Amino acid sequence: MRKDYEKLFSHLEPPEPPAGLFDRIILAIKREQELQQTKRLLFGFLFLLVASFIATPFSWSILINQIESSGISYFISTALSDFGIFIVLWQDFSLAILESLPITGMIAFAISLGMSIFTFRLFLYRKRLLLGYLMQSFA
Amino acid sequence: MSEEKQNNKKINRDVLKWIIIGLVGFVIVILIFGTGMFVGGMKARFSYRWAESYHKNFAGPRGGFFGDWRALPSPGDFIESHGTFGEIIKINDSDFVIKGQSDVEKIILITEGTIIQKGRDTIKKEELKVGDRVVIIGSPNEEGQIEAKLIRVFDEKEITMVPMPSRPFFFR
Repeated sequence: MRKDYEKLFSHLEPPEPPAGLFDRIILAIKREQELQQTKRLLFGFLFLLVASFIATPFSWSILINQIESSGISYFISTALSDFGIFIVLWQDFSLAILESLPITGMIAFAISLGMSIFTFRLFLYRKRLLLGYLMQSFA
Repeated sequence: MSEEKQNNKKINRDVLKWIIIGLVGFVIVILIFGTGMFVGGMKARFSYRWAESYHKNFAGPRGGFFGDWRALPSPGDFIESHGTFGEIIKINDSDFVIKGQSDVEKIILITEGTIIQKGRDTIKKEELKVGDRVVIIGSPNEEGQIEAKLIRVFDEKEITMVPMPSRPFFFR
């Protein structure tokens, strides 16, 4: 065994990484993170899309059912057809309409409509990203 | 220095804006909640009086022939007290009975000031008949009855003309 091995290593030039390797690694990490983020966004978007597609017509149907059974349309129709009497009896009319408001249906429909609008807005704002990811995945 | 001051002013203005938005939102929520409590309370009171007076008004068991009258009804089962609609099933001298939502019978009192409308005409109480479809606007009394202020008689044509939004195709 050579005794001057320490000298041998001191003469070896340490290998230099290729220029720009660090930047490329950082870029690759960033790209991977963005990809993960896009994937998460896509799954969230698809979940919201499916949920709003199911919830909106369902809650609309509940709302219509409740409007039909509550008779609110009759009160409104009476108020419109007898407008002079409505002006005189506005307090009773208002209470009758308030009492027959289909609250559950209205809340359910408002929530599902809000969800649909949010999903649509999300698609409009991020359509390039979402479509790009989908194209890349299926290409 | 002046730029920093301007930035601080802008931040303060933004904070103030959000505080005002929050307060307005809070007031709106309280108003809605209060209205709900008020309307719910009225419905609950009327439902209680209606159930209490059922045996007197309709000569039947308290709370009608269905269910236990002592059991607390769910909020959806409370009866509307200021307006109702349905079909006239019995006519007396100064009142009549209608069968409304969920087949609930209600006594409607006709007073001197009650306006009875059919189409564009005002009619007399004698012209009301069993089977007429009516909408009543009035106020409740202590006996679980409704003192009518307006009775609108709908004929079949008018009932079908009440505009209703359509349901999604797969729920029809």
